[in-house]
Amino acid sequence: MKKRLTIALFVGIPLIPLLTFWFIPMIVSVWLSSTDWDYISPDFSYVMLDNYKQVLTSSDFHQALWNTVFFGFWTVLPTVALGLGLALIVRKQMVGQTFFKGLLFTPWITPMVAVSIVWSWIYEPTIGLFNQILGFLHLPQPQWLTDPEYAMWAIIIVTIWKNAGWAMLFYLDALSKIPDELYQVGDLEGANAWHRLRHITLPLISPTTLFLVVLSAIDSIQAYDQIQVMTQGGPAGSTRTLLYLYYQLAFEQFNMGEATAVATLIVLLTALLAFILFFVSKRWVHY
Amino acid sequence: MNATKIEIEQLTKQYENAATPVIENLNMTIQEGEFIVIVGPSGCGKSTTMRMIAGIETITSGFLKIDGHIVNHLPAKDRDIAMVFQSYALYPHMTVFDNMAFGLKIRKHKKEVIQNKVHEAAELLGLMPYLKRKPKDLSGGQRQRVALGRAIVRNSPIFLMDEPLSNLDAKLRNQMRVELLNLHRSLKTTTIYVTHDQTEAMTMADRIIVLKDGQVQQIGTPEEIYRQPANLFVGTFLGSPQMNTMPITLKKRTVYLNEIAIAQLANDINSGRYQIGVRPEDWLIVETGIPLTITHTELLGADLHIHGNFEHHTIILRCDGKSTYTIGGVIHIMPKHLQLFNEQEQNIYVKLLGE
Repeated sequence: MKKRLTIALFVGIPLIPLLTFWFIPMIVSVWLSSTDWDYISPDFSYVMLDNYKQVLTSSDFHQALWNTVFFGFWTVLPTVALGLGLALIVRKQMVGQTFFKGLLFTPWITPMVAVSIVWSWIYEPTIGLFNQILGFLHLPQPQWLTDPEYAMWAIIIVTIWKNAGWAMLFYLDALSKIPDELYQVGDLEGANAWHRLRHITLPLISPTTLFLVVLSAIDSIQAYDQIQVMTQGGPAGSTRTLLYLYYQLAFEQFNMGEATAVATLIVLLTALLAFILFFVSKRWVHY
Repeated sequence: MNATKIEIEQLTKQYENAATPVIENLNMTIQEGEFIVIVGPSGCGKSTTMRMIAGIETITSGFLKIDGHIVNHLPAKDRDIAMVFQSYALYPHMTVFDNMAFGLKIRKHKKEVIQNKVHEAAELLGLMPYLKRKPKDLSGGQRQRVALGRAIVRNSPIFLMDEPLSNLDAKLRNQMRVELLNLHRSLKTTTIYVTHDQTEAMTMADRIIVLKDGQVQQIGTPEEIYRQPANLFVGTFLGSPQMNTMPITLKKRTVYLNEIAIAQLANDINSGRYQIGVRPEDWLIVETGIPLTITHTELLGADLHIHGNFEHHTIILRCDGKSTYTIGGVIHIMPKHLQLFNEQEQNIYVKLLGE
């Protein structure tokens, strides 16, 4: 009896915040997605699946979905690749190794909002650092945050810059766990640098790669701060991701029904992504 | 299979921050097809020597010649050497087949050739049923065989083995020892085998190289190393139980241990103080000699080891397992063969009168 009480206490207490801030809002959110609540009025009516119909046929949603996929692809792959590249470079014994590691990791511990503000100065078309450098190199100087062609790339660059050091840290740990002897055998067997990377390093760090891909993918779906600070989803919706669309529907247009429908779709999308990743990972992840 | 000669001249390895070299002026010639065992206590530089030959450790000075060519700066992949690591160093993400085929695959051999060679080696090592398994699903002995198989498929004329049996249990080790020797007899590759296990050294080697603190102590056949150790270290390092050593005085060819005359030398050696070494099996039990108080006996089946004290000397002798002795009893013993070491602990190679 006493043991049961102990278990109930240990499980029950952590469950309270989980229920209050996660399960209940989630259920309420799904429920709201079947209403036409306007966020302010006390009354609302049920519209069943109309919100989903409306959302799934709207061009804004299609654009946001494409933007999310585009943003996800171009942040996850470069972040992971750059993280590995940096780890491979920093791992070499050299002067100031610890300093470089620290330097590369600092973007990740800096709040995204602060980072985004600084980058919006860097992106300033005429006096910003980025275009100054591009001008010095006689390269085109785009209107980074106001040109629909470039705004998404601007957001992507900031996100990669912030996360690459974090990926590097995980890769450094994974690389340090590969025994030297595996490389020595490779040398004796005739492996060149490419063989070593392809047949030894990459397979042995594949669990870390999977972990980083999953986390960065989820992170990319949840991207909000940098968009809010730098472009507010514009120009012309070119940086509006699904999450940002949700925010705009809910708190700019007060269309809670459609907003929560988008939120539900985001959850389904995330679940689908996770499912695909874990299924595909069986082919290339070696534990 | 073509075997290859390895010559090592004045080979030295010194790490940048180290005060003394790991290996200093090592000289040796390893003949084609020879099975050489490098033996020594840990930290003597035996693994470093092997790694320099393999090309995964740089050479500070001296020459390494393979088939007459200096290969000091030849990268490991171009030396055509196969090595078996103590940890086996198998790729955990590859199957047994892929592990064995790895070297052939990256050297772009044809698929059928790879298949044939791997199957041939797997057949030889009894690995055929396990080709599709990953290393983690194999026993220690099977992993050991895969590591061997990876070396075999390459057809390298030189095999290096760095304590390959030290991770196996005693029974498997005995079995693998025989298998390795049979393998060597059929492949006839030049083999260098590093170990700290004296049984492996004695039973496997054509010649043994004894190393200590980066210096060669002696190179010779197991019998030479055992019967004529070059110095006190070699004498005590090989042989179990250890050679009995004790200080003696030599007066006119007579060896005195605490005033007891224990032996007459056949050679003319200057009188003075020396150390003698007597193997446990080189004691005779006699009527009058060194009175030994028995403190302990160990029956090993065929042999009986008697531990005893004479004054402050501890002596171990080996005799027939059928004899019985009581602890606390006194027996008299005399050496029938001994090694005489001078002040520098070098062997002076003496014979006893009548030996």
